[in-house]
Amino acid sequence: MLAYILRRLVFTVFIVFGVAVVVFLMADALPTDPAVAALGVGATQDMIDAMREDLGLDEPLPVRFAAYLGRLVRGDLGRSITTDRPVMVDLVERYPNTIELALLSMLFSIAVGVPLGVASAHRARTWVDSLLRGVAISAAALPIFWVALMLQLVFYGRLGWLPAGGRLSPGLEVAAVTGFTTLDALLTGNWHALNDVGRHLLLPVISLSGLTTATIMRMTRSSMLDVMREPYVDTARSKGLRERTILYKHVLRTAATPIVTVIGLRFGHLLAGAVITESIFSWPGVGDYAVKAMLRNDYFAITAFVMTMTLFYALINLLTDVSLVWLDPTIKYD
Amino acid sequence: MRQPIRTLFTALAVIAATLLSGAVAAPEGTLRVGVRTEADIWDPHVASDFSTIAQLRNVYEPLVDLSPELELQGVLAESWEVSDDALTYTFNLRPGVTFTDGTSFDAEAAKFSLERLIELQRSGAYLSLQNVDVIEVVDSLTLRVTLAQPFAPFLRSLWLAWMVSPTTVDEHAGEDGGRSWLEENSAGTGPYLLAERERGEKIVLEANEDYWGGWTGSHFATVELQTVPEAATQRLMLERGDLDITLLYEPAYIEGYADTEGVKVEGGPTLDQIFARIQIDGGPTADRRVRQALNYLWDGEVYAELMDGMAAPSPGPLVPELLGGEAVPNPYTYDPERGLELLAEAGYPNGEGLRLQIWTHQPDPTKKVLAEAIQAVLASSGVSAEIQTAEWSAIRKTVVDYSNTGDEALRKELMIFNIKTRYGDPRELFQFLYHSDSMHGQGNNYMNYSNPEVDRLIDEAMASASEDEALELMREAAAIVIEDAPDIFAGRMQAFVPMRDDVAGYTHRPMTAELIHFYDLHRAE
Repeated sequence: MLAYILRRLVFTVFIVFGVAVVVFLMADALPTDPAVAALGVGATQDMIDAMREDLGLDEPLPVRFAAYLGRLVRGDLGRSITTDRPVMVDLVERYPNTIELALLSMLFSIAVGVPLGVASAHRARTWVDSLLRGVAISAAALPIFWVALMLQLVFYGRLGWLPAGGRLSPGLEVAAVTGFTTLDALLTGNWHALNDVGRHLLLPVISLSGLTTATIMRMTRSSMLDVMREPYVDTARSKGLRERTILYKHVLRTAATPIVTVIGLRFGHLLAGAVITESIFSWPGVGDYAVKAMLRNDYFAITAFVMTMTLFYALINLLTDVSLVWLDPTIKYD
Repeated sequence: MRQPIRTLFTALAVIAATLLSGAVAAPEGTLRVGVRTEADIWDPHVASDFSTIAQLRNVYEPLVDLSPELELQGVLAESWEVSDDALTYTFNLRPGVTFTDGTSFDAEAAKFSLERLIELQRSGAYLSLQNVDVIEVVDSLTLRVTLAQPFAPFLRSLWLAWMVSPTTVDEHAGEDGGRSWLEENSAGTGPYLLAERERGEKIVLEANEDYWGGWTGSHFATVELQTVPEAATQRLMLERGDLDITLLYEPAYIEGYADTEGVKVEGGPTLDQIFARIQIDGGPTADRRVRQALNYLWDGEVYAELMDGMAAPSPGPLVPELLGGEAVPNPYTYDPERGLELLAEAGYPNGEGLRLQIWTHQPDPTKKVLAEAIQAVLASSGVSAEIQTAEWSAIRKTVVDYSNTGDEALRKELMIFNIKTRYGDPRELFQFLYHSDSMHGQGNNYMNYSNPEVDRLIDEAMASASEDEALELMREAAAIVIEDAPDIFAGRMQAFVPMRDDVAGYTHRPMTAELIHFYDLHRAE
């Protein structure tokens, strides 16, 4: 197993490298000019030429590519045209917020989606099942931006129960330990801040979770229905085990493999899809940074964003595959 | 006898307390400002876009600024003299000013700041300061700047050239000349200093206790610039009182704000306009009659209505405020009959055979609305136009390449552009928009307009030491430009600044509506 994990990690490095090459070449092939995008509409040709020289944009492609690879190997992701700071610094600051939002949305989706999926499977083809499937379809179909705005309008605008956005209320601070606000508040025993950041996260998490909750719910239902047909389930019932025990301890455990696979896939989507939610709730994540970078053709920031996203996808997939072994010991990787 | 003495002492005490409370007045309270996008760059010599400038200007100050009426106003320079040949400017600096690090502001600091700005080549003032030949410290409070050639808008351009403490910048120079340090800290002379910066969330400015302007009267002690990208969220927060002031970019919200309790909307016309720049070099629009026809076929009221009042019909290439209040006659009103007559003369009866492409940069919605409006209005007169959208640098490359090569495949007939004066000077604007030197990507003359008479008038106005003479020359130039119609003069922009009822002191600035001087604001009693 350890050998398998190490092999996968090495493979991941190659994937990220390959993506870095492709993204560099694609960004280079685009008919956009980072210097023009950085300097804006008011720039003259002389100013643009000076900046191009500064950024080394007029060097031949092999020279630029070699410089780019050299910087990558040193962990230098370049300097952002938008923020005028090293891209690495920008990402280290922003990524934890997006990961936190995505992770909490995933936990929420699992906490809601799995029990509803179990209930739906248990009451298959009854009105309960129909109702839950209807709810799932609606949750999947409603656009995130609409859900987010409506939640904000009701719970902040009209009722005033929750904040409009941001991370913490004015005046509150959390000492940075890991970069994840909720975890840092917990680790430093700052319960007031923990409560506050929880209130700030509630609406963004619910907004972002719609499709994921629906997907997990449907996958749980479908997978459980397959397993519930197995003879050992009838055996368990005839032995007098409680239905709840049968469903959660025996059926769900066996049915979990495809659910965990879907969770792994969806987590990557949550990371990438947090942009709209971050914008509406002013959550300072990497999504907003990436959008600005793309609009400004911020060369280095875009490349670094794509590479790091690829890395996260690859690592999440690895984690998913490894956790499947724990769930189903019959799975073996060579 | 004791009673009158006691009364006298009491009266004296009250008078003393009143005087002292005025003298040691302290700013108080927090102003919460909603900004759509945070100022990404806080180095005063690198920041160049207006939304960033609007935030930084409260922390950094120039030698000279422009009043809302576009008059020159001394800030860190108390007075100045200009030589007869308009090449040498001598500034008498304000004494007793310190940067927030305690360094005195003097001629050395001013020289350092200007040289740093010129070296970095990024600031909005750079285009003007690249004319500078020599910067000389005459004495500690006298700075002399000599230009290589006369540049009349030079003084006006200095509103964008901000002073920064040389001590602090040198101390934190590092590998990038202090740029990284200035992203997290400030070293200016302004009423506020950068106290805290949480990227993507908020920027906190605190009152500079040693500000040379003092703190008598009412002022805010803290300004929180909260990043709220979504207009709907901004509106909710303003309604509920979680924001005090914001800038409006979405026309759809204007009416809603007007009806909201506890909120008022200030603002007014700006100097900004929006044009559809027309290709002069080749193609159907090379014919002046076609360009004039497009202006007669255009109905500015349509755009004003689509923008819910955020735009008004354009008065022409120069708004009256830039011409001392006197507009140049503009014959272009919505007159489709006249327009079609001109098109027929040019060989396009009823618009037949005329195919136009309207280019607009993504993802600017203001330009997109205009492109669609132009397409619809022209279509109502039988002229067909197709809208194309692309990213700015891609469009720029194509138009500059066309300008250099004349390759027909690269030609674009119409291009939507925001027209913004940087220095409140008609000469600078015309230089940038219409002078032949600004062709080939050297300015905004992307559509290759070239009229030697207009060039001559702009050059003379630039060299003229007399403001009145310069304005007269510019009126002449504007009249010729109107006749030549190198643009569809599509609309003039309006600014709207919604704020809570209890925020007082706001002054609308037509040239820089995005720039809110926080020092002027206070909570009304």
